[in-house]
Amino acid sequence: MFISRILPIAILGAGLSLAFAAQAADWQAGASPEWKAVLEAAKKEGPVVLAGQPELQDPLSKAFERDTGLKIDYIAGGYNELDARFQQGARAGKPTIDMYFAGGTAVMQAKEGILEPLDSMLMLPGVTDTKNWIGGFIKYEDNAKKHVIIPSEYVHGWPLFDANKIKPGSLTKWKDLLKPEFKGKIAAYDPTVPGPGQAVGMFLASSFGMDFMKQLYVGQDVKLVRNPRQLVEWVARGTYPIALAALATHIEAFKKEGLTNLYVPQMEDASGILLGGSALIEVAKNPPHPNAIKVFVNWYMSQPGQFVYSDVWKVPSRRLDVKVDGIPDYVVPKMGVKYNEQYTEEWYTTFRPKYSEDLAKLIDR
Amino acid sequence: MAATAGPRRTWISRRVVWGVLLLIVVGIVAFLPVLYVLVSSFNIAPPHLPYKFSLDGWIEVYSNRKTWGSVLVTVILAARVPIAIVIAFVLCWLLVRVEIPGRRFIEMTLWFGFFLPGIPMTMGWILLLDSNYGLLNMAAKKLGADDAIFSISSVPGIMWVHIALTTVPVMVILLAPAFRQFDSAFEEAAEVSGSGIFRTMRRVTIPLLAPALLTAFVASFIRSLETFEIEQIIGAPSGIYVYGTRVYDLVFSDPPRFAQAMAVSSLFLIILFALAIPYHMYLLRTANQATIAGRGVRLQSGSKPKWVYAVSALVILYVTCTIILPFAVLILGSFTRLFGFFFLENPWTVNHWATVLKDERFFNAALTSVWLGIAAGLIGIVIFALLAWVLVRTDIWGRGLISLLIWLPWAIPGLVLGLTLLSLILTVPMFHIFSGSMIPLIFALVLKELPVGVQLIRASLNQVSGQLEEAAEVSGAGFMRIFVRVTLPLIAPSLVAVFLLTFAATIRDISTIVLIAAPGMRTLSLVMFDYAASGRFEAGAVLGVIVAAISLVMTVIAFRFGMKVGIGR
Repeated sequence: MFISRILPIAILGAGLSLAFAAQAADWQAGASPEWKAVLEAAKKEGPVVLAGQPELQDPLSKAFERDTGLKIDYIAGGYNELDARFQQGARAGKPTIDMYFAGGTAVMQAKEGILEPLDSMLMLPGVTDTKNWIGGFIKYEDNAKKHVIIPSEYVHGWPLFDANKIKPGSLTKWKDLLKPEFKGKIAAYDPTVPGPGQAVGMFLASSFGMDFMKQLYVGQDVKLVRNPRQLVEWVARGTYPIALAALATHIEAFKKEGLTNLYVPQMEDASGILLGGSALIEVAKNPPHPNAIKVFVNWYMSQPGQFVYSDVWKVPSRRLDVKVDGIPDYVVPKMGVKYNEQYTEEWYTTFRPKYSEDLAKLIDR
Repeated sequence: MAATAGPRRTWISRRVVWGVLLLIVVGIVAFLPVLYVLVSSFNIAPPHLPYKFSLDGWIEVYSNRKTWGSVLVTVILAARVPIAIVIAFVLCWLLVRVEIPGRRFIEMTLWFGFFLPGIPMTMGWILLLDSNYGLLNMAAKKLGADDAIFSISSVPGIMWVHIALTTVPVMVILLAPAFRQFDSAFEEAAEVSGSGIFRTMRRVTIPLLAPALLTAFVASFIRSLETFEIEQIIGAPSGIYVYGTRVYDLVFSDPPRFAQAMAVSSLFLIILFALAIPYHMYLLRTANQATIAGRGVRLQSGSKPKWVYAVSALVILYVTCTIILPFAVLILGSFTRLFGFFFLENPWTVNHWATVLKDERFFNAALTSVWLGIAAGLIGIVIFALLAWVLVRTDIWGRGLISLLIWLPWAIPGLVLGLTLLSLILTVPMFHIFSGSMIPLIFALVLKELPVGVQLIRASLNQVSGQLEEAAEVSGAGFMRIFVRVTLPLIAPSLVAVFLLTFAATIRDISTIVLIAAPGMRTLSLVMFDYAASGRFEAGAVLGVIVAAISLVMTVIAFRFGMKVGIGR
């Protein structure tokens, strides 16, 4: 009895340990002596200080410690507060945070000159080998290809419907949202603040123009929120049959608990946005833990680091060797489809400021 | 003692020196952040570029109808303060004077209510009162109502949540010590002379308690102007914006509009002084209105008429509906698979509790919260009591100005204060040494409670006649001995109240400390904020319940201690 029950568990446990050990060893394969020196120096520096969204804290900290023996001090929080805090420290030349999981605005900090270059930090062969990345290249947001790497990309910008009220296949064009029967029936993440709502607002503005935006957001009396969970909850409860700028993580969490009325359609007249989410990393100039942050950046860009990110957010990594279960099809970029690409320097320096101003005037906050 | 000869002999030769020194210290601590806000309101340069003076920020923000709209809604919502002060006055009178049955339970529940974290409790109220899926509305519909009876996403809805969660509890906390320091002989004399309950209340109780009532009113009114978390959750989706949400929107707009945010914050300064100056003048006029003299306090006690039992039942029903009911919903919510989705096939789970308790941050955050609360509370009462004593018992030079400066920390919304302190720590070399330590957090929390702490103790000291301290002085006791052995015990109910207020602020605060908490130093409220921000309401509810449990323990300890000094008697 003991042997028949315990032995298989022990074998499975040993197998998993070996698998993790092998994975931990693999990501450093072919590392130079210089890498080992960095690793040793990092161990003397103390925990690397990261800031980002709360979801990443536990899985990232555990996996990083498992693979490197180093600890993470993680400051979790909302995008707005963290952004302000990271930038204030970096700008004053006295950063307390080594690295921040940023959104697309990272390119503006790169232009401001408050970030460390990342290209020179990449040391591991498994990271720098371009064969491991989609398209055979590591993608950067900044034109100089030095400061802001985009390790993960997904499709955003589709609407969310309540299938009990809007039959799948009955509403397939964005312009159909202007029909009178949808007045007062649409909720959206606020497009005037940085985040998923702004990305969708700008995508629609760039696809259909500001007149369409006025008809949609003002004319249809769209209810604005700043909590992405509330948006999905409203559709799940049937309070609002349509939501704009909902996040896949919340949709999938609700679906998992048995809410079967949530439905993400494919819209025919505009394909969506290609975003990097908060996968981008900003390293402050003169970080407090210069070696530990090098170790983290290399680990994060390797298979185990990207696996954690991809698994937490259920979005695809740009690394070809990261396979995660449960990523919804509607967030996976399709070959040959032209998306509105917002994580570029041009978008942030030319288009975004204009759309941001136009949206602020339109919504009048 | 200001009116007596003894202390003046001690102070008169040094009054200017001490006055100037204190003015400098209070000025730096209280005025520096305000000065930063004022200077920043005229800077229209982006954060990474050199200072550029302009009036554009002021012109833009004050020519925007949204600003004035938000100010108007804020003032309308502040109408809860006079409503709450009437409720709180009656409650205190019933608790302390009438000594209604169940008074300890009622008072403890109100204290407990004040400790409860705002965001999860607001979620509890939404679950009860939402017009689409609120449990009370659903129950009403089942009983035959055609439409929702309650709508939480409205101005009355927001006002109700504030009154229930904070405004009435905090007023009871502020007023009850004053009632307890009030010799019932005054009222008894009126009653013996043939005055009825209401006449005694109108002609004796209210006039004698006026300084404390005014302190509670002014403090609550000013605080009501800067609240934004409840409004952000309930009001923003319905287009209800207040002053606090306006500041938040400007700070976190894209690009950030700091100048405009600081310009809006400056409006607060004007409102603050418009209230603080008359308040200060009134206090000076009523400085000698002591209700505790050399012969001590006598609290009435005796047989109770039957109506008190009915009143007690009503009050217990009130605290049950306003505090226990939403808290019960919060507990239920913490055990649901999806917060508030009771209709799922199998809605219950303990997974969220397991997640939170296994979260490495949890125990660190709990310890940080408790230590920070105790440190801020203790440091706070020492500083507040000394400042209050100086203002009431001495005639040092510049007292009036010091008294006004003490209000300044409330001139800045918590978020802006946090942003200001972060900038000062990062840019002023002498402050950089505090970076990464607990000191900025303690400083910010003590500073934020400075106005209410000093004013409450000051009102309390005003009630205590200087004769008692003079008697000690005549007997040969020195300043420290008199202060520790005579003054502090006499105002102990207020000190306990101020300690608990500061502790509760530490447990609850998010906006002031969110930007300055050092890496690895998170309080429970910040972890709860993290959960809420990422949409994990269930885990947020679990932490809300845990914070409530800690609060309950603190309330019980405070009451045990308070029994010795007068609270809950």
